[in-house]
Amino acid sequence: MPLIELRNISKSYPSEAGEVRALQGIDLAVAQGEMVVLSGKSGCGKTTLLNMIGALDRPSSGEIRVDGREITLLSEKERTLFRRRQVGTIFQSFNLIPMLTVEENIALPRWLDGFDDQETAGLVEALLVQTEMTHRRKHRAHELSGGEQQRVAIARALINSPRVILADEPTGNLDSHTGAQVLSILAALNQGKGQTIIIATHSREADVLAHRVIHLRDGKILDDH
Amino acid sequence: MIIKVYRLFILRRYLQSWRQSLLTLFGLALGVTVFVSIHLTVGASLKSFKKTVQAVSGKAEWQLVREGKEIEEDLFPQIKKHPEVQAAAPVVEFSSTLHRPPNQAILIIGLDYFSEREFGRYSGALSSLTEADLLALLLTPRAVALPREFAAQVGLKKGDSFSVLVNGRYQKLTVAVLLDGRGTTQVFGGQMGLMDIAQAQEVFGKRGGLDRIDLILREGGEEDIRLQELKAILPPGVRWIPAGGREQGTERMIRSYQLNLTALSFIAVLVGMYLIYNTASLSVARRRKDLGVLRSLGMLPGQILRLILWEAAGYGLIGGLLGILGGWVLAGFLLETVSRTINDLYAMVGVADIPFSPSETLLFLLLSIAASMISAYLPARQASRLEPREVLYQKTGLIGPVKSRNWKLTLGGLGLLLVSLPLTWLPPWDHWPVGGFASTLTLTLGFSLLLPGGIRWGINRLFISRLKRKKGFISAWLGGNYVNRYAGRMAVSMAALMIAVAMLISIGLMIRSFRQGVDNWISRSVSGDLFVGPIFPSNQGFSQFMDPRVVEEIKSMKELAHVYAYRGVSTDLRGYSLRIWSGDLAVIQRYGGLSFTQGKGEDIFNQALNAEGILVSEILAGQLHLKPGDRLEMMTAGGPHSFSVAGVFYDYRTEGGAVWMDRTLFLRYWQDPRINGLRLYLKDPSKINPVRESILKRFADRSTLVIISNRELRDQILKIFDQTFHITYILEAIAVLMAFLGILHSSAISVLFRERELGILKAVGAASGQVRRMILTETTLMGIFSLIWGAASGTLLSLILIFVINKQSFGWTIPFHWSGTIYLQTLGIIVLGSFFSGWIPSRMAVRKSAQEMIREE
Repeated sequence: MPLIELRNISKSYPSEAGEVRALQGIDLAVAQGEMVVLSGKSGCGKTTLLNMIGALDRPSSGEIRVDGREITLLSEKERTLFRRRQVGTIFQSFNLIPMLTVEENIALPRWLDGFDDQETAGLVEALLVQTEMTHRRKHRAHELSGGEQQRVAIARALINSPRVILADEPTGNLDSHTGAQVLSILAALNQGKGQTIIIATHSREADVLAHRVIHLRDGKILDDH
Repeated sequence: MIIKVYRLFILRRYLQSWRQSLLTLFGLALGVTVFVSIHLTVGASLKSFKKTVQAVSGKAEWQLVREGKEIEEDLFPQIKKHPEVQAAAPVVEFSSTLHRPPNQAILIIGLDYFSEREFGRYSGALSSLTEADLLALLLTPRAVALPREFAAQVGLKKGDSFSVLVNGRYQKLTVAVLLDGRGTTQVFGGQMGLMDIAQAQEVFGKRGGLDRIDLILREGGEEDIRLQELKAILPPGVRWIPAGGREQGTERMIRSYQLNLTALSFIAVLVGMYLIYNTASLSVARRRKDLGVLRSLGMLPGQILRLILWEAAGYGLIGGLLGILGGWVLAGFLLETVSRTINDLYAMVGVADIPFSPSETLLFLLLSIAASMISAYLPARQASRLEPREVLYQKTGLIGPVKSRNWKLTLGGLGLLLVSLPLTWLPPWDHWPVGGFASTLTLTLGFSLLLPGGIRWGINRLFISRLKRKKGFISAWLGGNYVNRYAGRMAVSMAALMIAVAMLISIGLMIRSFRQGVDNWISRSVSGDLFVGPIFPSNQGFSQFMDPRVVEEIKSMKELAHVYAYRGVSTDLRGYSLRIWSGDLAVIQRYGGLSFTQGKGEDIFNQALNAEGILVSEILAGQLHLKPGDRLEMMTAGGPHSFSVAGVFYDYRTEGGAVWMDRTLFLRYWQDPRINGLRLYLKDPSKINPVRESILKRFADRSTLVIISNRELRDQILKIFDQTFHITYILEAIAVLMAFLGILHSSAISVLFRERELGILKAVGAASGQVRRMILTETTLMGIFSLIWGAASGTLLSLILIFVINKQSFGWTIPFHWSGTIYLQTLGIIVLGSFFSGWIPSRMAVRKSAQEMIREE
């Protein structure tokens, strides 16, 4: 059974110019341990699709199952818990909390889940080592470079050991060298720990690292290889 | 086309952030409302008082008066014939109450209608009298002309009879004429009547006497020399004073009352200014990028500055208009409270409505705009100094670091606190406590500047470090972190709440101390079991006298141990209102009557009883810089006489200074044996009611007497005291409401401002409840820290209010009385208020989905 299964997913938004159909009849299955790249031009529906899988948004129609659970039927509270425990999200603009330090940003999802400092410290330490950010643990987000911020975002996404990591244009705000470093961290996670990863990107650098590349255009899957 | 750019940016900003704009406008409008309403109500009372003085004086330049006694009417023909006098008019006045409706005050003025022509008083009301009216007034027995409005108000029409209290008996008068014209409504609030002087003398027991003679001198020559010539024919004790001169002291006291209320109402404006500052600074922070783009496109720093200032001016204009409108409405509600206080404490004023003044309205509007622009100046300057390069290439998705200037603010705050102490040592300027007010301002500003550093220190030490990532406290920990991190931004709203708290505590402590002081003073100084007089002790008490036979009969009652018969005289001395009280000081000494600022009571009373000494109140001693042993020259009925000051006593009467003297001394220099009232000391104080009933029964057919017990008098004094502070409580409540509005405003703006951050929190798994709790923790923490700061500054402010401002404004020494209840009450109000102020922002924070909040950046 696939870890993630989307059946006939559509999403429309009302707009002044009429209805915008962001996704149209998407069927998709992602197995445990797969690394999938969603590619396509800006506005093709990549982010919308990721938001659906990450329970940040609801489809207009269709079903989404993650680990056998239909997430479109979840209550708001259940969706929050799903995001907190099952999904780790990495954003293009990093989205770190500016007032918190690096280690606090990483620990945040775990604290939100009710764990105290002692129960979290070991995991944070391990992730700091893994992302090579130990020397920056007391720094705040604005004191970091873009690559460093994205590494912290990756560590934060991993803290609750999620079943799936969703990365929305993780290299979009980075130079090519730093972008490559970030992708190699994600690839290592996938290869080393069998972490399921879905990356939305319009660049082609991630394609070589992925098991599958799904090409989207106008809200439809153009090809899947 | 820069105007178009301004218009686009300002108007769209208002519309885009309409909730924030409305909140800012509401806060500012509330501040302006309070300020305008206080200015209008007290101003209307002051104007009414001045109009009364003006309407009564007319064209009169000088007045001849005698202290505590009428002028013999034989003087009038001599004065009128004097070559230097162009016109003279005799006047008799009598303050009384109507029988129905009970206790309705009335001032009856006895005039010689034929001498009045040249004085043009009462704005022409007299000149409108027809020949038939004049004949009716002269020929009808006990005829009175009443203003038409007043007659209608008390249910009288032409030809009706009504009764007024005259020295313990009700005397019937007849309404012969109804007066039209605005002039009559300006005297004594329209509660007045005019009579022929001869009839007034007869009815009010002033046969052969005049209360004053008003004069207009001929033109030409030196006025001083002509007055000297006139002086030669004046009998001893009669003096001239400028027309309306006696009212200067009262006007000064009303002005003092106005100043204190205005200062209090200004706090509301200050809170409104804080809101504008907050809005402007957050608006700049939120639009850094837009402003950077404008700069990069060639907009000059000065144009950016003006953009922000015009935006604030827009708030000032609309908030000002709304505030002026609100001020008018609130003034209507406050009018009764304010005029009752002025009537109780200073003088009868009758204010029916608030006069509209276009120039005053324009001034309020300009002040509102100016206050808004001043409040926005610092953020505007900060915006004008933005470097476009820095802003445009700021790292994506991050809010720039908050620059910490804590040490500078802390140093500045400490400096201001240090300055506030020596400011309290400054002497008053024309009896205005300028140093005291300056000290409260520096103290408040000083505490405000210490706030950001204090918040950081306090939240770190007391909150964050203790809660540090404890299980179940993540929301509280995040809230604390946010307040700590953005203390600089939060500090402005917190300072506004701190000021409101300081106001609550300082005024609460001041009122509590004052009330306790008055209560102790009544216990010590207002001795006597029963108080007897023709009228309840009040402002009109001195024109009513007791029947001497009634006085003698009461004195002979076997149930009484002692009787203290007193006489009061209202006068003025060197521009200050003054009351002279005379009575048997041996009785006061025996029953522990007065409490002195220095010296032994026994020695002071001995000097007052045996060596022509007088006792002066602390207020008068302060006004005239008197101390025991000094001499004070007063005008007696027989001419000026210098008295030795035996002692200075504490006094909390609010109508100005007082002099107490023994009755023998008063009789020697004023030769007036009339008695205003009695204090009765019973052999058996438990028999108050039987004695009261026995007196009332015994004199029922001869005299109308008011008899009240010590307890009733004390309750009445404290009731008037409490009424006086009603307006203060209203102002306090509004300031606190505004401060909560500030917290709500700040919190709501911070939610809008960090929408993306909240979205991230939700995206990484924060539940709605956790976000809500975080916001509520923030506002509650803001409330608690404002409370701590406000309590500290409020306690210090109360000391300045009590020992500097009150002392310099009114001359009272009030013993400080600390009360823990005030702090507990304030704690309850603030904690609950701040929690609920966070309610709306906390709902706002969870209204949108995480995806919307992140995407919208």
